[in-house]
Amino acid sequence: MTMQLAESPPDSREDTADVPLFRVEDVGFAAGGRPILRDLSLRLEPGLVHGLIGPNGSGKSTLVRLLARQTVPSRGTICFAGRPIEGFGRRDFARRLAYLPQTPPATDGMTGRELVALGRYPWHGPLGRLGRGDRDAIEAAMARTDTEGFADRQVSELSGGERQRVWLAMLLAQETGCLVLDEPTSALDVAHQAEMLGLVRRLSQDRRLSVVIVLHDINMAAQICDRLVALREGRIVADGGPAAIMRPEVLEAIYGVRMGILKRPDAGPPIGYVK
Amino acid sequence: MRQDLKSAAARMRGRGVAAAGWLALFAASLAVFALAAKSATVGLAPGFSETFLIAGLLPRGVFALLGGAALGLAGALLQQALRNPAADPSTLGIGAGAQLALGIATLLAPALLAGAKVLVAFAGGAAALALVLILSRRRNYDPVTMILCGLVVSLVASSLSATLILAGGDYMMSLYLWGGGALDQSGWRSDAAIGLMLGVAAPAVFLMRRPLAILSLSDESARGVGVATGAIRLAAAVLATVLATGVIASVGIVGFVGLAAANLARLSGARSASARLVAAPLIGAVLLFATDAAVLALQQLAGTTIPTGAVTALLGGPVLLWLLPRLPHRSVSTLPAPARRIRAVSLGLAALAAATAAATLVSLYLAPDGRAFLSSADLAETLMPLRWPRLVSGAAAGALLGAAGTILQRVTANPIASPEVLGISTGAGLGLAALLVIDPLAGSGPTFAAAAGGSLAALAAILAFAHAARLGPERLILGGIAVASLAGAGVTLVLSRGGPEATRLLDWMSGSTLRVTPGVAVAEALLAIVLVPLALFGHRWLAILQLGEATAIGLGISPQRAGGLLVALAAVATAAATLAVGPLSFVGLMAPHLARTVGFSRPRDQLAASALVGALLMIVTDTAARSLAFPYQLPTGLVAALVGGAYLVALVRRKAPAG
Repeated sequence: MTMQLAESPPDSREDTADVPLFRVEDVGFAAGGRPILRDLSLRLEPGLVHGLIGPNGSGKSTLVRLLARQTVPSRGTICFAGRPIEGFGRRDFARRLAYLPQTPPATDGMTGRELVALGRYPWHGPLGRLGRGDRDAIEAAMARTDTEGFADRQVSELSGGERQRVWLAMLLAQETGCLVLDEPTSALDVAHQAEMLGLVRRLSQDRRLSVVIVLHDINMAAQICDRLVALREGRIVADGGPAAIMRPEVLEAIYGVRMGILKRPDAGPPIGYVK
Repeated sequence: MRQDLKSAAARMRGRGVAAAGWLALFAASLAVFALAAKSATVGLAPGFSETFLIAGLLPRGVFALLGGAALGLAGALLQQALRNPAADPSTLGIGAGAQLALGIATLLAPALLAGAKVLVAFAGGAAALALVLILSRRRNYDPVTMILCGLVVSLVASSLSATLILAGGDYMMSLYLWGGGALDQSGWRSDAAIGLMLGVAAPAVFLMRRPLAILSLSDESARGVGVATGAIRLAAAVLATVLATGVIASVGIVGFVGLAAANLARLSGARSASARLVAAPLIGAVLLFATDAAVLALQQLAGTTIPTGAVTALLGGPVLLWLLPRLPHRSVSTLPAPARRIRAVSLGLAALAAATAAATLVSLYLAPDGRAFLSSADLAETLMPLRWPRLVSGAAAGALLGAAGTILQRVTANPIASPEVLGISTGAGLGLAALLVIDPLAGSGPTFAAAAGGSLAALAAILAFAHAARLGPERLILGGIAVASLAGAGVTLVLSRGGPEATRLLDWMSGSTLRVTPGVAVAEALLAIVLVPLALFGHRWLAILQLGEATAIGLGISPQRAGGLLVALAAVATAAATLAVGPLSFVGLMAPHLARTVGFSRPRDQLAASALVGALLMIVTDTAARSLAFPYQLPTGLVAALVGGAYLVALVRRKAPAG
């Protein structure tokens, strides 16, 4: 299965307003006295798959946590869909952006359907009943991620790949316009990685979802992302389409190690390797 | 290089300052002690004053030093062996277990006490410690869980002790007076005993110091360098228990000295394990001696006699408050998923409700001797007015505790969390104690109000602590533990005064529902009708909160706010329950477990089921307490503590989750 990718510079496939998905301005974040992000400024457009790459400790997870409003920056401002990110109510924000943390927690006896159903919480709140719309959204989410077979099975008994798909279904049931995923494939084998990332890409294309995904595998990232943003030591060191990033000098600047590239036999971005 | 030298010099200076401070405290205490001793011997007959000095005051002072050293060493050993900075004979239930054993021996086998008092105390303390350790093994010996288990075991044990004392009458009251930790001595026997124990323990600790230090690593790493972790840990635990129960056998419970001493040792600059094992006994000796000197001086100045052990127990709350947020969080393996899930939940709940109704009927119609059933006419005439308040308030309290327990266990993802641990019940006890000190004959209205006031004060303290420290719901539990310790110390203080209020307090502590009036019963029922459905409304929050902070925020919930509101609701429900039936120690813990085991695993189902199970448990317990020992009435608390203790043992014997 090849994953085609446009070589041209990234531009929005959204034909709605010119409002950026995210506008990050001079954001800094420090924890325990140590600065993790420094003077970061970034603009992300809606409707694209953005990949966040970079070495360990570069601040990728922290950045997506800031974007998902899991924590607040020490300095600077973040605007989401044209408004300051603090301005959104909790459930309102959860209806617009869905977040998958790096290590999904234990689910303690929940079945697949129960977990996916939790994704409807931002819509019906603590007291509302599950209506027709909610049930349809749950079914659709499970169909799209091919997890209907796990509806009545306990999530804790599924394999790693199956469990990730159920979590993705929960995010989809949230019916947001934006997905933020923090290394959703680190614990998966090659086949499941490809499957999950292909799914993410298809979802973005079919449903015009904006996706921000943190990946540590540069080749996987180049294959599915429209735009790559590279962090190193808390700063952005590269930003562009896969063709622009997959060059030896750029990769070396990002990862600090000498890298080369190989052209693929089929159409697709080049593959990077460590020299 | 210069930086290293500078910081090393700074450390040496810091240690020097700390050592000087402790020496100064010791010198000051010595002066106070000498003055107080002198004032105590003034006015005594000439021959007697010397005897008093040599056989009464001097042994007391020396005992304070030796006992403090023993407790300090015990605390340091436990903390090192269990890798838990909050471990201490008081927090792990050793004290309560020893006291229970001594109480049982006093009642059933007094001859043992003459010769083998220390052995009896050791047996009780060791059993309690073993129970706590096995309970926390299922959670990978996580420090907070261990303290929670210790608290639960202590509560069960002291509830049993309280009922024994009530059952035994005046004779047993002297047990409680003694049990308060007064360091008065007559002769040098106790000093000799403790001195002997220290003399044996010190070389043993010296020999074990290297493997003990290596225990700071994980078990795998320690085993990797050839340390027999199990054996060393067992040896350290046994030594610590011997030291602690030795002190308890002589003077009763002296709380938290080990906890304070070992942590103060670390703060004073003893960074390595070996250094702590040396510094903690020394600091413990100074701490206890200083406290005793102050108590003696107070006695001389104001004439009030307070047992020293109760005063050190007051140390526990603040030290725990400071320490608990800094405890390392050990990752715990996930709970095993429940084996069964009930398909037709409504049917299951209906069956539970039917069982509860049936139990109510049985309880109402059972003849007093438990062997026959009454006719309706008999019942209406004679026993109904006496029985229905107890039943109604018991069932309502059980429902409230079941709901509160479910909330706490879900919000903290910790199956040992239970309403009693929050300290609300103990706070109610403190409020009641305060009232009874002022007016031992207060009626049921004022006592209700006093207990309510105490509960709310405890609740406010916990919430203030959690808010100030901006900690999540699990850490609310930590505030509860600290409040429970503080309030418990206050209650012990009042009890050890031995006045008439003590009996009433013990009465309430043992959960006697005898004195529940119709008014109280109706109030309880109304509270249950209001609060339990409120808890049910929060079931979605419960389902999401257990998935952790990130997922909760991602779905649009503030974990702090939602968790805080739910825990506050649990606290109010607990306060409502304990007002009528005392600080029972098992319904809030057991009912959620039982509901889950039967198959109600979703939050909403578990809440409803454990409210029903809680009510059912209370009805059964109350009926049993009423009928088992006819014509005597057992306090409900005794039966409750027995059931709770049996349940804990059953928990322990179930296999730990594999992997």
